[in-house]
Amino acid sequence: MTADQLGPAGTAPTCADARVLLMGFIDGELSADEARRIEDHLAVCPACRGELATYQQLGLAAGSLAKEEPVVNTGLAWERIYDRIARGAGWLLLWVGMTLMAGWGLWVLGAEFLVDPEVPVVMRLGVGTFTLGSLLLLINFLRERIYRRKTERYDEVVR
Amino acid sequence: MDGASEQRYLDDCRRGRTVAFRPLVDAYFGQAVRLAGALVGQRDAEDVAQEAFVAAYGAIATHEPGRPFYPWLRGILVNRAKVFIRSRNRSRARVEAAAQRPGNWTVGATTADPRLQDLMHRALAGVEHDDRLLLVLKHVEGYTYDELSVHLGIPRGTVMSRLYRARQRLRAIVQELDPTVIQQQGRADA
Repeated sequence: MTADQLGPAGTAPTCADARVLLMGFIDGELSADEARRIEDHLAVCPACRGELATYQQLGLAAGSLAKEEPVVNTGLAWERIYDRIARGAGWLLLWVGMTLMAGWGLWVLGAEFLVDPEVPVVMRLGVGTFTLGSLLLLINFLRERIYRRKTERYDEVVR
Repeated sequence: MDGASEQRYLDDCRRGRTVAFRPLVDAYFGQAVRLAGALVGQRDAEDVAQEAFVAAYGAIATHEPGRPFYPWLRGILVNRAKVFIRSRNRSRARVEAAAQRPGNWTVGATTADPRLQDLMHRALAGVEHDDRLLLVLKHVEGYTYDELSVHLGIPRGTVMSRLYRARQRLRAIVQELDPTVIQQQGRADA
């Protein structure tokens, strides 16, 4: 709603137009011309004066929330925030380390253990399937973590 | 906290000194909880505020040096609140029930009637999220129409018409919850 939508200068706005503009009037957001035309309308329209009073009261009631001063334990909040920040770095380092170790382990396993003719076939098969299973579980866990991080950011919040 | 100290702490955070974030938490956590409380309900306010601080620290490199911290944090918090509400809208009744519970915070010194504040929390919980966001940014955070226009990405004129619609809905809910409250408020302020 703009001054142009109020109609040509000199014409009175309708109540429907005036009631939208009352919002700007209450909030002190109208231009001088718009405000003057609303004042002119209010002077002759008791219904809109009633609306003005109601929305002013509603504004005061809603504004009471701005005066709230919730008592918060900032020390505890900081501990939790710090924990989350530090935990994030910790997880990253942990996963990087685990990936490096797993890569090295696979290299050693493939290069030495699994091709060593002195190791019984059953043992090589057992260790090979155990390693493969562990890797699959690790990959599945990582995929799930990434998916959940993308789709549900508040899953870990305890309520 | 004065602006120079705030910028010093932010610079330290950008250099990776996590402990420099603490004074910012001390200074703004209460404000953040108040805003989060109005947006998602008091019960989840601290969780959402903490999420916003953690996200802010993670994105600290994107904070423009010299700019105040709280408005930047507020933008992050509002986005977190949107995600939070969306993630729980799958069971809308739960959201509203949670928002209407008194929560676990204690309201400290205030110049307003705590019963009125409780009523307004319950009324806001009944308003659609987009309208609630508009009302909270206007009445709790004191945004101007120009700021609302930029923040919500809508023309300035639309801000006024949407505020009218949002206030109509809020008014209807307030009158349903307690038909006398607006008149009482009016008499008290007269």
